[in-house]
Amino acid sequence: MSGTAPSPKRQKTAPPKKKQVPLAKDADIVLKKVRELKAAMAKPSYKKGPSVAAALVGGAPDAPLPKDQVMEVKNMSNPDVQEKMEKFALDIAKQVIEGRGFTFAVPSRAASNQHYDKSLDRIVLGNNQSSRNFVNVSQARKTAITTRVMQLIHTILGKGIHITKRDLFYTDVKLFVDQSESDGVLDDVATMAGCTRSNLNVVASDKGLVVGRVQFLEDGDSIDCTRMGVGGKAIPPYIDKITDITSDAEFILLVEKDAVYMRLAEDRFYHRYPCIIITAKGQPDVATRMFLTRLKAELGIPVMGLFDSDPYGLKIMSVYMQGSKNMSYDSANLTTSDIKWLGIRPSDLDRYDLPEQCRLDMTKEDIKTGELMLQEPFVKNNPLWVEELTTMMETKQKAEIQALSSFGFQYISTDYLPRKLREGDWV
Amino acid sequence: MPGHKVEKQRQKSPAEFFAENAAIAGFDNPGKSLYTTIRELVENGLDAAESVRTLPSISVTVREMSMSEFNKMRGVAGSNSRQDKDLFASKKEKQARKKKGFELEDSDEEEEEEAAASSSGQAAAGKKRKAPSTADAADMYYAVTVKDNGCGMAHSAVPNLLGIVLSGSKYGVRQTRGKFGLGAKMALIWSKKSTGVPVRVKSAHMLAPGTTPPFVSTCVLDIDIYKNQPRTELHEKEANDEGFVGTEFELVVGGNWKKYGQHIKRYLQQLAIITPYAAFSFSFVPAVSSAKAVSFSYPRRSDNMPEESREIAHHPSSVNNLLVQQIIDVSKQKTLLNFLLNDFSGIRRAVANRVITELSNGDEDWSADMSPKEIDPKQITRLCQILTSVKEFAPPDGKCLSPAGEYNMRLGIEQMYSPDLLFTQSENASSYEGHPFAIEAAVAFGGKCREKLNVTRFANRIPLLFEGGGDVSSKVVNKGIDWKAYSVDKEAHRVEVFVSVVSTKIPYKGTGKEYIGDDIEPIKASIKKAIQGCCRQLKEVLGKKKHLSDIKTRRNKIVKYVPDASKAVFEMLKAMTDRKAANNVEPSSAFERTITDDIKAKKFTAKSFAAKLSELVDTELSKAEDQDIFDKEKKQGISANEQDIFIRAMQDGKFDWSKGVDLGKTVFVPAAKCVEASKFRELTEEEKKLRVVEEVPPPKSDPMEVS
Repeated sequence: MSGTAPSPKRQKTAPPKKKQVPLAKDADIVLKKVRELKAAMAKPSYKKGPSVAAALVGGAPDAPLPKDQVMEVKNMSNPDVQEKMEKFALDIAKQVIEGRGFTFAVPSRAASNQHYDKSLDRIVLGNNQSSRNFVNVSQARKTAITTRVMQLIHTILGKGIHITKRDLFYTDVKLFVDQSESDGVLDDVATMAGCTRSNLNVVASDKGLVVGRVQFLEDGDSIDCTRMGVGGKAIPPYIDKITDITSDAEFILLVEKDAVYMRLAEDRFYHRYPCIIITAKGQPDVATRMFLTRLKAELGIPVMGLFDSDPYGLKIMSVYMQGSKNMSYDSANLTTSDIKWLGIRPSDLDRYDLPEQCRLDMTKEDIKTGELMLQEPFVKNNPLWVEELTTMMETKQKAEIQALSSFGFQYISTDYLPRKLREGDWV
Repeated sequence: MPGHKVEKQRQKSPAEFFAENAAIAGFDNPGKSLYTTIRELVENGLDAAESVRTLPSISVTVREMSMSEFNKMRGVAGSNSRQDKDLFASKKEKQARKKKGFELEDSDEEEEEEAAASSSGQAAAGKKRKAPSTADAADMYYAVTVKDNGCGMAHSAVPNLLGIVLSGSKYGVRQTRGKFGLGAKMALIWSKKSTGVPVRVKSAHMLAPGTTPPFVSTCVLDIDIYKNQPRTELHEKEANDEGFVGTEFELVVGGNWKKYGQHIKRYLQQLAIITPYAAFSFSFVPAVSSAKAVSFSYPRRSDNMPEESREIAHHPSSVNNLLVQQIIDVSKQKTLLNFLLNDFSGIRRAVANRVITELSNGDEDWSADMSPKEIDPKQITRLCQILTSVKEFAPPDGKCLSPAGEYNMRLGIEQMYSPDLLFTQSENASSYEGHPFAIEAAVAFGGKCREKLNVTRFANRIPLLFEGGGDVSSKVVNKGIDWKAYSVDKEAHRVEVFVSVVSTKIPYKGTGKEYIGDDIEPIKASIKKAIQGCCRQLKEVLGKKKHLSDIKTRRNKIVKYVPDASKAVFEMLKAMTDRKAANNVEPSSAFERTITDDIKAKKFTAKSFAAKLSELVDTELSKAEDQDIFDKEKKQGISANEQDIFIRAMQDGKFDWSKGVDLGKTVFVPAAKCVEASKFRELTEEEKKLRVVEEVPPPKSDPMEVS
């Protein structure tokens, strides 16, 4: 056979060999204290400390409110939420046809309407409602937006799809004008229906990453986070599509910064000391928070936090732990209590002899933020944290996790973390 | 006395004085002089017409001439172009020419300076004055013609009326238009100064008001400034075949249309506002055909001419030594008492006696019976002191004044500005320092009014154009009135404020008498009150308008969203209907069933729901409005406007709505009183058959809300 063109030579490159990272030799010693903690957590006598939720609303009431006077935000299924939307529509239609008016009753999310429920260890909403009346010059627009958002949610629930907040905004830019308008109404609709925000099938875009020893099914697809490459798996925003979580990790490592996450991921730290590493790459998004909460609830393993030693890092931790005050009643799925502050803590600066060039001066904003943090319930609940924070305020020094690189790029995975874990040095 | 230089004394005639101090009379510079010339002649014409109660018609023509044209007309020999250019070029020009032919624009100022400098020097010599020559300066001449339809001047009186600057003796006080009483004479002096061309007058003297004058006089004259005498070149009298009425002046003066044309136009415009019963026409022909010719006219809008101002005697608070002497000199009274009672205004018998008693205190020469002529100069001083300090005199009678009248002001303003809203207010006459005055004000809003707050000032029914900043009216309008309190936005709204001050003595300030000072408290207060009166009326209307527009805006703000809201609700219900139908799910309530059926039957659509929603919005809004009105009325309290209303009884169980009662308001308190019909009229046959029901005493009137 002449005339056939020779097939182009294919470059034969060998695929990169997967680094086989075995379990660390001192894993047992290092993880001993972690295992002890895990066991203690399982026990009912485990004291999580005073309730963050209670502190958020200024303490637990002496007498709990009767059930009919509070509204608990529940996880609702799609059909249930859909039905709720329809009920609202019918109610409005009835009002208008009978010429009575056009009013929504929106539960108030103000601080005065948030109460702590001891039995649930959660914040619930009282019965205060504000009315939104279409025939009112200042409220007509908001009411129209509310009906529109309801209708859009109704549609997507009917189709069983999820859309992002931005998608929602773009369906009717003329009416919404600004995305903050449609975003705000979403919360209103959720509380009116009595369901969580995620039940509305409106998701925020994902930001977080997870890598390590956890496997789950996502919408039927099987995901193994040890086999998601070096970068790990993007945490999906469709929390309801995640099922069947299994793991042999001993703890969850919650990392503030992407850089640290990458370091640990590349070093396959999760193989040496079985764990799950999660990062939200800075400010935590809803998906990451929900995922973290879910993991902790289902796996029952401790969560170790790795943050910068500055008020900003603490702020990030606060979001994981208590969320926003405005939405604290919906926090069941969004907040993870009991995160252990592993590092970097202000006391580490001296204990690990961090060199001077890594210690930075706190700015005026830092100091202001620090003072605000001292007032936060989740800090006040933990006297050791108060101590740490006070130290930071006194020395007026802050340090980032990357400062540890001054001891070597891999110092954090080879030395710092194992030492911390071995010594049980968390608060 | 060696070395002692004696100044040569020379008598100065009044004409000379005014020629040298022309700025006092408003002849500061050529442009202003042109303006003042026109002004004086126009006002002259108005006075002439009003004196015979004729509705004035004034026409003004101004024809501009360049220097060459003027010289040609005058027959001035010599070339009109300059040969030796450098001789006439200023330093600046020479420099500019070096820099290549730039045209100087501020040569005008220089030209005027030079004109002023040369004129005072040359007026004494009585020579013809040539304008300084820079080729492109505004050395313009203007042939001004003003014609009126007034009473004209008697043939023999013409030269003297025009040619002598008199200082009139004062018999009394009267409100007059002019500021100096010089009138046309100043114009004559200016024409002599600026061009030397004599004035041409054509006048027909009306023997009786409203009749056609039999003769017409033509006169060409100028004034001998030194001797204060007219110098006539022509003085003819002819039969009035053409039926000429009034007076026509023709002068040639120097001036500057470029700078003062605007003011001349504005003067006539404002004059037309305050004098709508006069007809004005104006035309301007430029020297260069490429420049803009101007011509306009303001037709007569009213036949209502205000009463002429009457002369009244001086008020004692306003006198001085000289004045008292003059009054004594012309007095016809025989006794001091009658002198005080008749030759002054505002002195009553009782007060006069008290004054005489006071005078004779310490000086026995005073007595009620003495002749006024016996009063010697020292006594005059004392009399004067006492007269000016007594506070018991009655204020001067405002009846001597002749205000413009709100009617005329309205007409004038409407013609000029076609405002959306116009309010006028006139204040009662008052007095300051013995001089009576009266204020009228008008506030115009919207329409063709100029942007922001504008003030137009009138003094004795002539406009004041210059130096508005220091004027009392401007100050009151801009600083003394809180416009915001009257719902007026100084920046956004278009408002014209008109203030007309009439008085026997307007307290002018400044050399040119261009503005009224704000130091006379009574005048300031009266102006403020007048404007505030207009503002109150304005506020009411604006308030109502705002209320209505508020209501409309409110409705619009809501109705805007009806489509969105109704569509959203409908779509949800439709989706629900479809879904339940597909899955064979039963509706969960009766209402739901109705809706579902209607949707399926297409009876209930997005449109029908939107319509229902709009309906709801309107009902709710009107309910809210009624509530607003009720609340407001409740706050105001029940005004005691009791009104008997008679409601007929039902006939055959039906109420005849055509004979219904218009209650006028939406909120009232009914106090029911049942009165037998027979007390008012004959009962009909049917009514007689009706059974008389037991008289039920009317319930105690409870204020109910009925809306």
